Amino acid sequence: MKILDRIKKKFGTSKKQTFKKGKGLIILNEVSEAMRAEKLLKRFGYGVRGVAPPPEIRKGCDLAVEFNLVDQLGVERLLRGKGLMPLDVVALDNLSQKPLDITKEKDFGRYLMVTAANMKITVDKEKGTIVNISGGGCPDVPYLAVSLVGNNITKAKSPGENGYSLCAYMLEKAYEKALNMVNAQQSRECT
Amino acid sequence: MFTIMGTLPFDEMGLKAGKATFKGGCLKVEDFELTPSLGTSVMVASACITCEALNLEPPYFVTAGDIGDGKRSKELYSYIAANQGTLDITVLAMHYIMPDIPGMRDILNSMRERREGMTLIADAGAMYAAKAAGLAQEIDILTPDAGEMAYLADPKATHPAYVEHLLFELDASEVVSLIKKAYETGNTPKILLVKGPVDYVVEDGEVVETINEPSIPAMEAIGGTGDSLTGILSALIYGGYEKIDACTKAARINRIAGKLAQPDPSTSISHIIDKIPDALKEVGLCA
Repeated sequence: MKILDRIKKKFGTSKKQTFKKGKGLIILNEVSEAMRAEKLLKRFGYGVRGVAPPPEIRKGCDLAVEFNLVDQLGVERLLRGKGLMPLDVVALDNLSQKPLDITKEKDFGRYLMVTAANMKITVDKEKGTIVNISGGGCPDVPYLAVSLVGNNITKAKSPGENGYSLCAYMLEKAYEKALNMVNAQQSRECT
Repeated sequence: MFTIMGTLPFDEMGLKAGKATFKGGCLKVEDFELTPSLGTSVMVASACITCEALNLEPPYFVTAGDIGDGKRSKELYSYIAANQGTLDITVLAMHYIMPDIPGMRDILNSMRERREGMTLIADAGAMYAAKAAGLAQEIDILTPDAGEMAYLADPKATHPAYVEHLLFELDASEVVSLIKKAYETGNTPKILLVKGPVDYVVEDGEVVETINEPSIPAMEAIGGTGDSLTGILSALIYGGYEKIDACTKAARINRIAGKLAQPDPSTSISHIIDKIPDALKEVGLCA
């Protein structure tokens, strides 16, 4: 019996940890919204399932949608596009945690580099041209780099419109900061 | 066989596997040709150049088009897990791919019996997946930058976007403290090559080599400089260089290629790749 208990304990625990790693939860306003979200995401090929949210983050309905956290950008865009507005999106590994929301700037003279977590975007401050994108590891980063580099940041489509992953999510943060800084620079030049 | 696994940013491209060639600025696998830009294509091109200079067979490249939905990334994980035996892999470098915990676990499980004599290198999404799966200790070498080092040091994070405390002004001492913190978690490989303004070669949690010359600040902004480093490193390992020596040499070669390209932050990575043969000569690895 003791041996059986040990085996149960060992495999039971590890299975639970494995199950939650890298997962996030989408919290919606009502059960019906959560069900719609689950169906919609499944139809688009996302690995999701309806689950009861932990009590400490229960905000509205008692059904949430579990998804792979790395897909966050694509998942949120798809839901919003269909009129489903999440009340919150949380990481199951750490319920209070949100994606990083800090950016850092580095001035290279003519060029400005903005970093957000693992992503960097570099722009020509005067012309507003995106000259380089660096970092990341998800497959949409090289794709977004091809579509963004060489284009003016004030006219290019934001990474949030075409990206899917958390890397693209962080690139969007860096992009927004760089765009604001270029706009500010250009306003100063006009006045 | 020296094998590289990673996605390319083309929506319609199915799985392709074959010897990669890089000639006249053009990377080719099977019938597919492209000009390398940020990501796996830069890594493979850099590996091809290094292999050619060292008179080695070019890498076998297993790839599929993925623009971020992760569908073909799953095919890549499955392909490597199912075929690693027939590919007779001696060096496997894994790169841009949607981080997928079950996919990475399948690859590593499939290799357990053949692990001896095989070197596994992971960068980009494959590195994220190995760490998120709690299996980084089964990889031989990871190649993080300072921000990714913060990710490796955070035991709860499953992606660099969810790092609990990211110190944005990462000076030398902070990177070293992150290295120590990462090794305390136990979810780390034997060797790290931490790339940045200063490159650190780490073995079992101790910094054993520091490379900071030549110093080319613009390289930090240029997309693909980390990818070229991993490509050079993988080829040197395939060429028989001992792992720590290969990390040190690769860091130096990559910096020299950067110096020779005389870059500014708008320089394309292709200009740096072009200089790898001269950089290999400068360190005396080829005539």
